[in-house]
Amino acid sequence: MSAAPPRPEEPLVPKRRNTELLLSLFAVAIAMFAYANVGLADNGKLPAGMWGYGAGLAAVVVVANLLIRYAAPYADPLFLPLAIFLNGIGLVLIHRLDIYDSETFVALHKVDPVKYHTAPTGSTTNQLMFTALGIIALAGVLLMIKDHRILQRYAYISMVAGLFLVAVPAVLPASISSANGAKSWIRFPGGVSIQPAEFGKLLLVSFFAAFLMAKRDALRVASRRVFGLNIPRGRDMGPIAVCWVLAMLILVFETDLGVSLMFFGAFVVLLYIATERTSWLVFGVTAFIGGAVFIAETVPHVQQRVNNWLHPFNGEICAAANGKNCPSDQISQSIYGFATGGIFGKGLDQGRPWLVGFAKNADFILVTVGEELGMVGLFALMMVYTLFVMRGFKTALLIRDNYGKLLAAGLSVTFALQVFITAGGVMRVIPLTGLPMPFLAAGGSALVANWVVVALLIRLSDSARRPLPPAIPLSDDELRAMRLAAAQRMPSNAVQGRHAQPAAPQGPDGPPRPHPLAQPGLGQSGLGQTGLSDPGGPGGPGGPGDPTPPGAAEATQAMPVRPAGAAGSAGAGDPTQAVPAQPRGYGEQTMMRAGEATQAIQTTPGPNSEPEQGPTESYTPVFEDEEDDVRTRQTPAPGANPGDAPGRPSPSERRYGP
Amino acid sequence: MNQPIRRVAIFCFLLIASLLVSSNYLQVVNADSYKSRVGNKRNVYDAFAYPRGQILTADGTVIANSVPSGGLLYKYQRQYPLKSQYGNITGYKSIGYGSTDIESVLDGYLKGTDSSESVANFMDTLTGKSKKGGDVQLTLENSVQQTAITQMTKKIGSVVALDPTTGAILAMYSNPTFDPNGISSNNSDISTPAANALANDKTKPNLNHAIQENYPPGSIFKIVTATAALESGKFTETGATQAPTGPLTWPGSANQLINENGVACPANDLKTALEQSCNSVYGWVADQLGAPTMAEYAQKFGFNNPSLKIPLSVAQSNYPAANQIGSDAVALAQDSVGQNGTQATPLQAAMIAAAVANGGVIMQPYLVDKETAPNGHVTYKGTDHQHELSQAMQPSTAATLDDMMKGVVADGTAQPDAVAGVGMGAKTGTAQRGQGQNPLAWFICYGSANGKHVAVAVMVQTDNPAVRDNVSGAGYAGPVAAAVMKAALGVS
Repeated sequence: MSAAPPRPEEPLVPKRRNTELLLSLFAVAIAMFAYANVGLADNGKLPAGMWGYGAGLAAVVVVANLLIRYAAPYADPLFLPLAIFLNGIGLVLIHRLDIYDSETFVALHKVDPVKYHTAPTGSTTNQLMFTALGIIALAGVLLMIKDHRILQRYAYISMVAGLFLVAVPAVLPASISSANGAKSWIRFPGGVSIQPAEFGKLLLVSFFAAFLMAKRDALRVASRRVFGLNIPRGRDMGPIAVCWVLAMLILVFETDLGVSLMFFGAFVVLLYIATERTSWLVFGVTAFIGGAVFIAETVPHVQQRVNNWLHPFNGEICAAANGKNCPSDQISQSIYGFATGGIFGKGLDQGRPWLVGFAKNADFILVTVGEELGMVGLFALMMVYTLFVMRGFKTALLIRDNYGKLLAAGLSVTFALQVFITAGGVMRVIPLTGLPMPFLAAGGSALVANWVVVALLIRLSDSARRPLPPAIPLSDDELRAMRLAAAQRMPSNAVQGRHAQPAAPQGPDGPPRPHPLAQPGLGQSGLGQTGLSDPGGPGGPGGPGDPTPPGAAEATQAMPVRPAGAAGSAGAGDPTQAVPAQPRGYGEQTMMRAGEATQAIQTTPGPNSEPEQGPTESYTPVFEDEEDDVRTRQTPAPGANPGDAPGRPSPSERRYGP
Repeated sequence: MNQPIRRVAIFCFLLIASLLVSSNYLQVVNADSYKSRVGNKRNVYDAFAYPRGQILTADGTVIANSVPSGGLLYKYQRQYPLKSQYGNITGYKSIGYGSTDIESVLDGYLKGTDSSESVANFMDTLTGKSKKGGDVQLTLENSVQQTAITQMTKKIGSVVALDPTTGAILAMYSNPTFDPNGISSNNSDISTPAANALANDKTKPNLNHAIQENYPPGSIFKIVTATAALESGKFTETGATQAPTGPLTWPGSANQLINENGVACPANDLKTALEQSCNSVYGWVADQLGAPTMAEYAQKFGFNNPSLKIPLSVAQSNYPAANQIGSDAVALAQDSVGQNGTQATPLQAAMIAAAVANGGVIMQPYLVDKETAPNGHVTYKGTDHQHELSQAMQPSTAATLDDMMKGVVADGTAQPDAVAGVGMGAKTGTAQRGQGQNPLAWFICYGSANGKHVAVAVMVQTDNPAVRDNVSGAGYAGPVAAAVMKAALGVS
């Protein structure tokens, strides 16, 4: 080997951990301000233990921040503060409703001490406990899952477990599983009840991501074009059909439009993201609406919910006329709450949100926001949710591997759908469902599950923003050696050990990956061929893609379609693809769209031909400093010798992060 | 995959944007119509969440206030310290049974949500004062009201006293009445039986009979007929008429209009006929004037007005329209002596007396003296809103009628009820009702002394058949009116 060029320095990427800490403390301060507000409105005094709670929450924040500093130093700095804010406001709202409960009890106790002898147990303490549990779950996830791609290995286990968790309330007797009209709970003796679907949805999203990543090629390419839509082949409809049936079963057996919609919505959206085919969206949405409408008209309890949605005041009209079996008046009560709040709200502890039954639980906690904080407060809350979701999507955009993209997008979509479904239910945009408002509603399992979402997004955003290890330009000798090695179908280990690999994405079960380019999963093809538990697979190093001249994209589209089953072997059997076409700087890989790798494998015409290029029209640099990236690198002319592309920017010129 | 991710992100934003739109619709655009729905219990809770304004009489006696109830949801309860004495004025404010009378009509002000109080409310919010409603002070004077109550203790009927020069109502009482404390209780164990008892009571004690019930006015309506006669120019105060002093009969009709107790009228001039309350003269005069003229003057006095508010709604007093009477001279004669189709509220009767007392001008009667916002700022003054309701007659006619009505006291049917030291004019009435019912005793009068003016109308209803033949305006209603007048004018 000839002498290698000097080793580049570590790139500087701002980690933003101090920003995160400050923002989180600010979120704690807002929650404490609201808490003080409740106390002052209630009895004119600051609530007892306010400073204690504040200090406790601040300590939790500091611990979480330190943990993230250690376990995910490059994570997006907004997830933790946003989650702390939502959780804190949720605690205040529950505390506010607890005050009413205990006051009612005192009043009732005075009238009838025999009947009302046990004081209600406040939900605030519970919620506080589960907040701590949530933070512990966050720590656990961050410490145990060092790399999100590990989850990919457990795709099928995730599916089975996820389906089990989603479906188990439907199977259990109603006495255990039914609450507030939806069969989506498991109640254990001792008053603990959990909503298993909250965890089930995470597992299912993980499974969807892994499954679709593997199947995307088959699903996206094989289609006929009819009326401007790419109609998928009948045999590819299998997964979506299965999902549709499951969603409908949930709807029928659990009365839970929310879980059903979230479950199916997440799948369809991920399908769309994975395949980039609008037709899947059209099919999915049509199928769901069709099925839901049919079920709404045939299954009585679903029908009832729809009727309550269309005619929210029927319940109270019927009750006023002393009718029997009147429909629920929850929606009308919730409408009154929102209307009373008006623009600026009544002020914390100064409205009557408890007029809505189960005000603390699930979706109706939002009525408290609407009535006491008004439209302004509601908008602010919605913006926080939006920000959370958008940071999730940003993570999906930034992250380099397909599974991570789908997982991040899936978690974000699920979260956004849950916000929409719950809030839309109480605001009469859609029929009411039983989903809990993320982070706000009283309910341990949902809160812990949401903290797991935060942990996963932090983990994903850490991988997304983490700079790649400094890559060292290969000398000509090394290049030759690599080509030779690849041609002999041998795993290239020519550069092994030359690259530091922080948080090394070790191939799950194989030897250490030979080259950072050989990201697990990049070259992975059908599940059927390689199995999900072996993301490294024979696909092996599959990264041809330096962006190339415009026009290459069309060529890709026009390529003959290769059946999905052949994709796996194609990558392995194509030696040239294993060889980097150009000297690599670090960060190189990030510019390569993960999708291009698989595309290239499928459509590679043969050795030594024009390198298959990522479609320029959809070229999306994954770095935050997008312009910088484009500016500092030169696009080689078509057909240029890959070896002599000049002017790679020196590492010190490059910036990372915003 | 990034392009679809971006699209999905935009889609998610649109989903949340739809929530914002919905929030806007619920909380701003449609908020008021939602809030005011009956099913919104907040309205009821709000009404009892903070002290409601007081209702006071002109001299400051509290007749309705709010006291802490000790309840959690309904923190305050309405209380009426004088119990049944002002029950038909204040009405009640109940959790389950709504509100009536002043509590209902001025609900917004008492609640503190009236627009005239918004500035005061805003200032109170800034200075951190706790919320309360505005006070309403009435024109009623407790001393006059108490006299009326004492006088009516064992009688059924109504009393109205007002200042003819301003229209301010000084006393208004009707018996039977009711104690609004029962139905207003926050405790349903008390309010429910009270409400049921009220609903089942056939005498309708919760109806303010002085303004919400119509009665045949009888002879007091002759003031209206006399006004029409004098202003027609065909008749003078003392000039003899062609009217029969005995029963009035019509050719081809078996009907006849007899005088009280069937006696003949001493003379057939208007003054004497008014003093002695001769039906035959006034029936004949009305026939001469014709139905349109009679209807016109009835209307000038306030009859057939469906929209009188003081601010409580006043029932319409009726006089048959001209086309309804047509050429039926019998009906016209009967209507014009306050029988047949003629009906009047006691307040209307007081307005007839007030018209004469005030030179022919009827002032709009009113009950609300002033409204005071929680911060002490007076936002409404009754004296600023005094206005003429109608000109019932020319001042010269009023002077003539004044003389005639004083004659009723000096020489006529009202002689027993004369009040010394007061230039008092009056008219008695004994209104026949249906077969088997005692006639109603009416007495209207006016007078002034000590710089004060008052017009009083009293209606007493008896049900004992034994006294049927003895019922007369002067005997039953006159003493009440005289006592109220003394109280109002401050003469002993």
